[in-house]
Amino acid sequence: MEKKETIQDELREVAPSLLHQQQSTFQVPTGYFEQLPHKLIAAVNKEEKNSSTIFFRSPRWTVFAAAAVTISILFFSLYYFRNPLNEETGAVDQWAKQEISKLPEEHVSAYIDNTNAFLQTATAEKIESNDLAVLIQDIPHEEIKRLLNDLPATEMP
Amino acid sequence: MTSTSDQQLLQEFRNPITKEAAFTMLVKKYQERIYWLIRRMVVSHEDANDVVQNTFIRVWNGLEKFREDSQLYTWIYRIATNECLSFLEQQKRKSLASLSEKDQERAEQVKADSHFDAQKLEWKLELAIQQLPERQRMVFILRYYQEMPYEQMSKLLETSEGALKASYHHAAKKIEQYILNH
Repeated sequence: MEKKETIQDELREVAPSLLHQQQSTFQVPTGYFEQLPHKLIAAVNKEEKNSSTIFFRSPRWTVFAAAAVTISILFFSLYYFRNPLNEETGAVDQWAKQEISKLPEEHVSAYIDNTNAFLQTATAEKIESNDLAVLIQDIPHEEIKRLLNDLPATEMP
Repeated sequence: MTSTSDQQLLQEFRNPITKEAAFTMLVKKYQERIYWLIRRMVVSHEDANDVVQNTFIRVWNGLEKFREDSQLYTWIYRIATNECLSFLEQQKRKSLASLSEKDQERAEQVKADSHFDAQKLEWKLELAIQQLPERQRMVFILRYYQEMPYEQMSKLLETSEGALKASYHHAAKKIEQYILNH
């Protein structure tokens, strides 16, 4: 520690009215300095206790948890895309085939004919609803003739 | 304060059996100087108590890793000054008051002390100190009340001895002027 005289000499030169005024003004609660070391020991012990019990809330644990969740998602995604989905689709196909085989053949034929008839009607209506002349206006006559000649008689409108 | 005894405290702190006893001794050794530095900076006892506790908790947490390339005394003071300046910075951010208003608030806190006597020179001195900018106030308190050599202060505040000397002289003159005018 620098000699007190040196500090006082410096002050005497710079601001002499401040010499020997270093008395204490503020008050401290009674017993404060006696109790402070014990309070601090209690505080650090409490802090260390808390830091050991909050392991599951620590950032390191969160990182491990996040990594585990990500790896799990990746693993199950891969597994699901490679196997179960295809197996499931195959199982549905198998079930549908079994169910259809139980039906009488004439019911199945009637269903297919009705479905085709519906589709053909729907397509024809769709074309008629447009202007056919507009649709074929850019096609040369020779090309239309050749196309009509190539069609089998059954498919002629 | 001798470096040998600080050395002993460090050794005892590193031993789990004597750790708490060594820390208690260390607190007893430095608490008053640290408290009065902080108290004169923040004025209120409650605030000073918070900053002192934070300082010593940081000392506890860092003491095992203390590398001994600086003196323990300087290291503890550095923690205390950093804690103190951080506290004042936080207060400024929280408060909507301007800097001069904040100085005025601290002066009002001094006047609110139950022992305050406007006629006494030592109280005028406390009021004058609150008019100084934070770092200059720190330099003045360290030199005037704690009688810290410029060399040590230079290591603590990482400022040249010349700059610290100039800052202290300037502060002392400002305070003297304030006292003469009030």
